Amino acid sequence: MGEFFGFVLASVPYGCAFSLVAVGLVLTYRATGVFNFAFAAEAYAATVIYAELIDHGVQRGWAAIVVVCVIAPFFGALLDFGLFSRVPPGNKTAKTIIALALMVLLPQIVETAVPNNPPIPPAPFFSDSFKPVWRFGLEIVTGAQICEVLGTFLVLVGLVFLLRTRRFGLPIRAAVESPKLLELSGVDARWVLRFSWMISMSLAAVAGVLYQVGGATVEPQNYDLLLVASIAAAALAGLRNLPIAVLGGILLGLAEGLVQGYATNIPIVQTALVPSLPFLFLLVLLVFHPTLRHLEDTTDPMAVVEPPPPVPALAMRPPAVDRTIRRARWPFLVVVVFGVILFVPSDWTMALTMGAALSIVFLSITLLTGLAGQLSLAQWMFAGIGAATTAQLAQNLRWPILVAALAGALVAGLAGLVAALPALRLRGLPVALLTLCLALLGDALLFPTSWVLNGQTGINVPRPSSIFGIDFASVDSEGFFVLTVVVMLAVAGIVHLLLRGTTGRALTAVHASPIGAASSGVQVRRLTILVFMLSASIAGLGGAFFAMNAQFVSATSFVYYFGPIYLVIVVAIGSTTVEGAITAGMAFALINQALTNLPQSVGGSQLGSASLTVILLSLGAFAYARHPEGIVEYAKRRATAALFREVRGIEPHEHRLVSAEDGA
Amino acid sequence: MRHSVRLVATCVIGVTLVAGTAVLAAGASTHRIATPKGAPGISATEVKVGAIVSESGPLAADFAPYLDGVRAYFDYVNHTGKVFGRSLDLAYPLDDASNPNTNVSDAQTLVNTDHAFAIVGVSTPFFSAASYLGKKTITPTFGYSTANVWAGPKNLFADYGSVLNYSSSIPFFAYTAKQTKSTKVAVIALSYPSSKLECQGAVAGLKKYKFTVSYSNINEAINANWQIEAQKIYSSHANMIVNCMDDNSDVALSKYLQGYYTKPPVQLWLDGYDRSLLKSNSAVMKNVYLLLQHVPFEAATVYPKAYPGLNLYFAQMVKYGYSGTEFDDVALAGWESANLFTDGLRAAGKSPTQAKVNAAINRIRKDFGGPAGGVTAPVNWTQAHTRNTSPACETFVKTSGSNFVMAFNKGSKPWICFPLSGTANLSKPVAPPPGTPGA
Repeated sequence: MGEFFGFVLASVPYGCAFSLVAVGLVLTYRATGVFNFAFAAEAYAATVIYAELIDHGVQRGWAAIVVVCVIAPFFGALLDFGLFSRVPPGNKTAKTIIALALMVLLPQIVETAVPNNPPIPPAPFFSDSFKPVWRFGLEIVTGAQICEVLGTFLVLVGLVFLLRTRRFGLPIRAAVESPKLLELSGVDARWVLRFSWMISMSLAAVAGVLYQVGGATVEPQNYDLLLVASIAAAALAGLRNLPIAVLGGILLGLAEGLVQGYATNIPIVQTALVPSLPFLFLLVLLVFHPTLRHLEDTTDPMAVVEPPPPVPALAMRPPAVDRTIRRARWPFLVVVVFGVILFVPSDWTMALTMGAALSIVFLSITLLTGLAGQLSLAQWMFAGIGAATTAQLAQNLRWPILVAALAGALVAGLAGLVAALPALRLRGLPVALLTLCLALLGDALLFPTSWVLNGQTGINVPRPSSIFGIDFASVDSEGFFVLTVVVMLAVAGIVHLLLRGTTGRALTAVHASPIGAASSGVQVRRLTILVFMLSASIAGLGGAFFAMNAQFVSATSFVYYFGPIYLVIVVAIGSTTVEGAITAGMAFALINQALTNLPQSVGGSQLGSASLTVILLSLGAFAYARHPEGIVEYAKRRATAALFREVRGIEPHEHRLVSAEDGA
Repeated sequence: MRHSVRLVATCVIGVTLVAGTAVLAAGASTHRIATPKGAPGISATEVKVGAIVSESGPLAADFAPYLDGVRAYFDYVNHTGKVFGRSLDLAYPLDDASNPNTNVSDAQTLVNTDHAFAIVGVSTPFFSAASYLGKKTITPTFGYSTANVWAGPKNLFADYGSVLNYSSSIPFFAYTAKQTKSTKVAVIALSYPSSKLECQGAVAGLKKYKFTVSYSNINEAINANWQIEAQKIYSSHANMIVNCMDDNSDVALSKYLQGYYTKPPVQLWLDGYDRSLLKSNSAVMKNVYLLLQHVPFEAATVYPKAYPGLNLYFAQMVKYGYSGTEFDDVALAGWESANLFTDGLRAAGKSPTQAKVNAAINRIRKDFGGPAGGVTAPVNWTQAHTRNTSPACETFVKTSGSNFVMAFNKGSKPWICFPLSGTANLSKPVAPPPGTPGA
């Protein structure tokens, strides 16, 4: 019994941190309509700032107060002012994309600014955080634990008190129901929403300051558990009920601790079940919790006065742009391919081949997100499944590598089917959460398993043997580059046909209104399954070529956080056209390579360049609300318009009219 | 009709593109920049080498100082006569960010793009490029070994020998338990192969020498709830803990152990011989023993004339501006690797090739890890790719406040050696081989 209570006491503080973040998630979602994926990243940033302040001689208590009461609220206000207040309230996709971009960017920025992970800071109070304040046999309570539990309790009591006040609480509660109605009663809803952001950022900071994560240094990956456990707790509360969110957080902390406590030397439990527990819990909730299925259904009675979401870029693209692209793409491609073969140094050939492989994966995002409007964070996991299957079939069963790659795409497609079945019941944000869950399960449960990718040791992946004297095997083989480009173009052709064909139109209809599409005879369920499977297959094929290019894959090749990173990058550059996906893939690889070639003294190290590439490309996501078509499409429209003005003295859309008149 | 023409035109362009590029690609591969056969990266005045080191990523602190040791040694050689008129240039130090995939791509870049003569060296938790470097190249590769992936190929030279034979370490865990009069031992490791294998050896070895393993967990996650682990260790009544984790996890577990144990238990760490780590965590690093494969740094202070090899290392590290990491055993590993490479390069003569360097090193029977007597027990490279050099010799230090002190030493003699085969007599370690520094 003593052992049990010992485990409980050791687990409750973790649960408190989960509760704090869950409450912040619910509060932000209800008040602002933003599901803040970046909450754990913000908690991590707060911890680093807290640790740095202490390192620079600030007293611990003061450091905590500065982080929680000054820096975090200021950051919250800044986020609202600079980003979220500029998104139309009804554009939930834009809000989710911006939150995902923050989730991706914040850790990269913090790690770039503070390259050496600081040691885990002590708790704000108690001189020796780990010294037992009270002990009875196996049950001990340390200063850090008292800080965590007491801190959580006080913050939550304070929050309840605040929400009950007439001056602050009532407007926030009213904003949860309808910001428009609130404005009609003479209250400036913008300030109410900003205040909600400030509170929720302070909650993230409290969690960051109090959460004593494992290890000795503050590292972003230690906050993954905080993110998912708090999402699961918030999901249990239906993103609505604060007390249940608190309870859910504490229960998850307890469950984690008890499983770890009682499972010793059961490898599958220790290495797979313990880290996956919150993901599995969230997965079950997403499928069976009735509130989550209807999360996207608006309850704001004034929602109808919102302007409609922007028209898809493809539909607005002037015919002149289409014609220009059609005429220019083949000569452009020929110049690029021949240029690579003749003039490009070998390390750049490797980078370009990686870019082409990534482009294939990104085309799966074009299909699923750009066309079907589903935000999937699991595309990189599907790429991993394709790569793992390819590697295993080629290495162990000696299948020809290209046949193995096709089989890998097929297996990834079947995995897509597994994802599609629960997704049939969901739309919008819950699909993003579901796919995040799947990606995390892949990361914690699937890829580390020795028979999948041989753990950290990894598997060597062969390339096709030489054909007609063309070398595919050498690291910088131009032959393999051409092969990857050919496959990329074939996939791009398929996606292009889908975009423009009847399937694309049906998917657009489903995206706009599933009920309307179904009433027009579109088989929504079949179409959803088809698009999930097809996009997973494409991602799997891209993963296979990615693995062939690297000639090696391991458990860390397909870590989950690249899923959100790649989604954000594709959306920022253009998820509605095949050019957008190809530009995103190539830009990622080439910018990374360019930065790697910089001298180390100016930040040319490999990790630094990868972080900087992600930062540079993800920033475009902040413009998603204004330009949902992406940077490429926007730039193309601007360039074509400028060209037409210069050459013909008319706007492109006028040219269409003129042409029509000519035709008549 | 118009659609058909466009389709045909597209197909023709596509086929032409593929065929043309294929022909060009076939030709282009034969037009690569030519490098001297078997001696890339070498000129009359310098030898350019590369390195793959985890300078960033979650475990960087354990591996990054390696480069300082290499650079200090190269600076030392370049200022004391060079090697047949050639200076040694660590021209391509690549960071693999503790990522196995980047490790492989770094190796490919060093061999195919940078044309490095050798890799001096590799210091990373996941040396996944071992298979590529060992099977597809003859690039002389040196490094700090944490996993049993160096064994086999004759061009892979890990410090202290390329075979990590955990069974050779077995007597040392039991020896520590005997010396500290511990009766019940807890063993803990992370789920990484390198950590896990070490502690599997510890469990087997302790049982072989009749010690009770009261608790063992060799699958711990790196971000575990350490208080729960500390409670389980305490409730097993263990009075000694063998810890095969990284130093971050060691410190985290130790913080919680101090809450349970009124008197700090004996701990044997395989990682964490780092003075700055001890200085900032001296409150939780009490009664901690560390197992080393080289002469302890403290020996140079206590017995200033007994270890000229170690004194030379310190002097050069300070002289060339690496005084922040001279007490880090990973920096010393870099020094040892650079020394072995330089010995091989010298022995290969005035016109060295990669094959000649490999062959020359593989003839060395006593590699002491450095000039002026060295810092390690001898490694026999005529056999060190496939088996350990007998007897197995190690040294110990323990924490004392915010300092390390030598442990289990007999005066200036720090080495504890046991034969590789059979059951060792823990009360009577054997003598170290002749020439061992301080023997």
